[in-house]
Amino acid sequence: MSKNTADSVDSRVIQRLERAVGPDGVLWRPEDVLAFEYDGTIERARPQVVVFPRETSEVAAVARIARDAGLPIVPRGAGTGLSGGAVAALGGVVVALTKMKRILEIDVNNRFAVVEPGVVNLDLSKAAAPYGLYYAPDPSSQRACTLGGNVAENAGGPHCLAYGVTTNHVLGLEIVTPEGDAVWLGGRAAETPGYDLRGAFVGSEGTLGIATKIVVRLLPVPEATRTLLAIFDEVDQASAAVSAIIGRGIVPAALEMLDRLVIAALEPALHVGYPVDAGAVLLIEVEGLHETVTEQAAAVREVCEGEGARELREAKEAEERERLWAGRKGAIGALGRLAPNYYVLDGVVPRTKLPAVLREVYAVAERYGFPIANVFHAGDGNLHPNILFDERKEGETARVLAAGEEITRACVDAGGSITGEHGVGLEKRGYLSWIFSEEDIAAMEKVKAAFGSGELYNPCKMFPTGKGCGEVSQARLERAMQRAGPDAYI
Amino acid sequence: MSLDAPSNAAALEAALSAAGTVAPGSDAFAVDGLKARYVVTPADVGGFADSLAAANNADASVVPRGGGRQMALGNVPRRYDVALRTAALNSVLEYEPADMTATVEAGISMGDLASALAEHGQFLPFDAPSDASLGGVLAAAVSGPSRHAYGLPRDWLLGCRIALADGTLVRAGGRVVKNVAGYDLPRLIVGSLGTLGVIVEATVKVTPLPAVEETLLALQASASAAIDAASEAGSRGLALTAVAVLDGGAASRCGAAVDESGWRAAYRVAGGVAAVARTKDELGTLAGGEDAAVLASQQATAFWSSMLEPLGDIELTITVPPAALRGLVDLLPEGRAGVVAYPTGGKLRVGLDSADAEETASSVRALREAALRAGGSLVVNAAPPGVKQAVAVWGDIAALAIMRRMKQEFDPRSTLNPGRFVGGI
Repeated sequence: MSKNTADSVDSRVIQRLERAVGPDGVLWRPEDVLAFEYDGTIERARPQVVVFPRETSEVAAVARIARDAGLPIVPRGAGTGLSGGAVAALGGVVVALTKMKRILEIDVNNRFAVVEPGVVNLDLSKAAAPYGLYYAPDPSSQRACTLGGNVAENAGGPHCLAYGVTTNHVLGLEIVTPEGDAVWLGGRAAETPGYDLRGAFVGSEGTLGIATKIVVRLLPVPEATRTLLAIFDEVDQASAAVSAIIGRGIVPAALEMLDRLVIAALEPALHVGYPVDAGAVLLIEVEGLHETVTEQAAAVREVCEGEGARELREAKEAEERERLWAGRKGAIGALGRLAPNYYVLDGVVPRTKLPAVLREVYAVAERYGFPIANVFHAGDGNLHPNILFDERKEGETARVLAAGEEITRACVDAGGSITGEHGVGLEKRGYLSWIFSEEDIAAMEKVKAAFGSGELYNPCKMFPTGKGCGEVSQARLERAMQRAGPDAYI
Repeated sequence: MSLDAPSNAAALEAALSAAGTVAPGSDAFAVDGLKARYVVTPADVGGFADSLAAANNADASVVPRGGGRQMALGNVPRRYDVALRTAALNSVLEYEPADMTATVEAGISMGDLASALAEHGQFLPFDAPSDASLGGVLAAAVSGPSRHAYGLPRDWLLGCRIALADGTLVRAGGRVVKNVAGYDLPRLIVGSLGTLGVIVEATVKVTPLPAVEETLLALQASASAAIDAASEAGSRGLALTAVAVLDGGAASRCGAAVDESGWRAAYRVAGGVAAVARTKDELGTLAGGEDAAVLASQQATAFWSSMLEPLGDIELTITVPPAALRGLVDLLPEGRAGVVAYPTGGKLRVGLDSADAEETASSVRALREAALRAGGSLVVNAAPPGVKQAVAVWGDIAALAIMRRMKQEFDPRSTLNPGRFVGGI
């Protein structure tokens, strides 16, 4: 297949793909594939072909064609990912799963749903709502992101504090293996004998195969929910309150922090009622039995007051609660008001280290002269510092990356991780060796070998090395940032 | 290289002795009637890895062993040269109660771990006997009535250190509650029965002990009535941390005897004072609930811990989507030792005492077919070797080809627990 070049692919391959998924399911003209160059991050790379399968059998056919042609294969959902997972780093075939968006089954008695990978996260909860059920993981992009993408990245969200991230909610997966076979991992029961390949696949960032059906747990909507907003003058007080709430043995459904800069961005844009003069606020939600939430809400109030909260507000009705959440989920998007560009990080620290690491984040902001806005899952210790900058200023992008690296390094030094929910992807592959030794990474590569996905499945993702990925480096990242428009950062 | 050659055996013995205490194999360490040549107790993680490396180099097979509570699980091993114990790996390495995470050596007993955590009002919600090791519970993915509220062991393991078959020590996962860096090897290793590597250290999430805890036992006239009541209770989001249904045989083993045909539904009610009171009220309105007995705290502890003991020489575990349990209970053989169901978790344990391998095999076949039809599976959790040979311990497994390659990648010489796992892995 020597005719495969950076911009074109052998016409016989196109013909085979068109036979597999239908002529309307294949894009290959450079102008048509342009929209599939990027995801929610700053990296860009152009695929040679984008295919839109509608059935498992079509995915399998595409997998075989790509393998025979020696073309990289990159699965893609809505393209909202925040680590470059859907970027076709070495070109090849992007398998867009957005046409596989059927909810195949909602089993009310057993509380699970069988879905295709292109189903949008929030659409599943909407479909389950008439039965009093919902799907718990709720990434901020849940109105757009797909469950297939959630599986690939092991996506999180504010309510994962109490309910766990995607992997805690996936019972089974039908995947198409790199050989083009459809195989079930796990199933409809909570456990299946044998290795937990389902567990290994979730969060594998498209490097082990393509999920074509997903069985997810649904939870009953809790009978009571109380949403509190604790307002603090200082960030330090808010982070101390986070530790104190957890230390008190309360696990809220969600425990989110927004700092002054974030509120300054979101409030004028969204008008949802966050106090613009606060140093930081905590958005705290408790859920469960009436009796439990009453007790927990009182305890949360007491702790926050003890840590110096100047005011505690509680959402009186559903509409007010939704407003507060709309503010939280729209926060990062609103940062565009403060600066032309922003770069979002995803470090995790032990909860007790939160105050110290947050101080370090602000110190980095000071040292580099970049405003850094923080809106994050405080209860999990999962930070999202957003570095605000202007790419048009000479040398600024390089310094943003350096600042981000310092913050991520501070998280690792505190005993934490480089990513809590966005994934390693292209962006943080160089950091994987900060937390894992060569032997540790070699053990992960054994998993890849067992699935038989080799170098063609989403190449240059997660692992620091990879054939032909040398170019995917810091220098390339900087060039990508310089090319990226202001919208490319979310 | 064969251990039959005296010089090879001597070389291995010397290497093992350098890494830990070595004793000759004995009945106490037999697996399915097979005795090990050596029983090795390394003093530390390094010694454990060295012992494994020495055995691997000598083509000696290794059966890793924690508290010895799950040795009946799995096929009869193809070979059994070395019993490699984690017993001396029992330290708490790092425990920060405010982070609600603990890092411990994997040989620590569940009882010792529970004591360390209880000092700070916390616990790890696994259902395992106190003399089981944490590593063993993870390797065998042991679960019980708490799965109703707390899920499965795989949901609590944040990270671990694994000794691979060649003695390489690797770290997987992390020490924080949220982390998606790299493949999720902790999930792969949980339930792998030590066939990919041995967990030598584990970082687990822990959770606060509830303020109030009470156990209620309701008498039920039939299996279906018991399962319906327990399922209904479980579906209401009440303050329940454990739900189980027991037949007469199982109930009497747990010190809560009922007459022969009767069944029990058991509830552990836990949480805040008001939530517990409300939950008890609601349980009272369910079938059989009005006469529910509240167990005294010591009795309750004994009740729940007896439930974790084997139900017979032969024990089957069936896992299905929860609504399928009722149909399966109707298929249970008459001559059984006891039945425990976790209706909200879709799990059923059946104890059989039958000495007749053929009869057992036919019961297993019927139940397994029904479990498969319902989208689940049946595993023979324990059985005498003769019965294991007559029935398939694990049944047919999907994705077995990938699993075989996984084993090949992690343990190419088949050193670890050869033959015991699915598909004879």
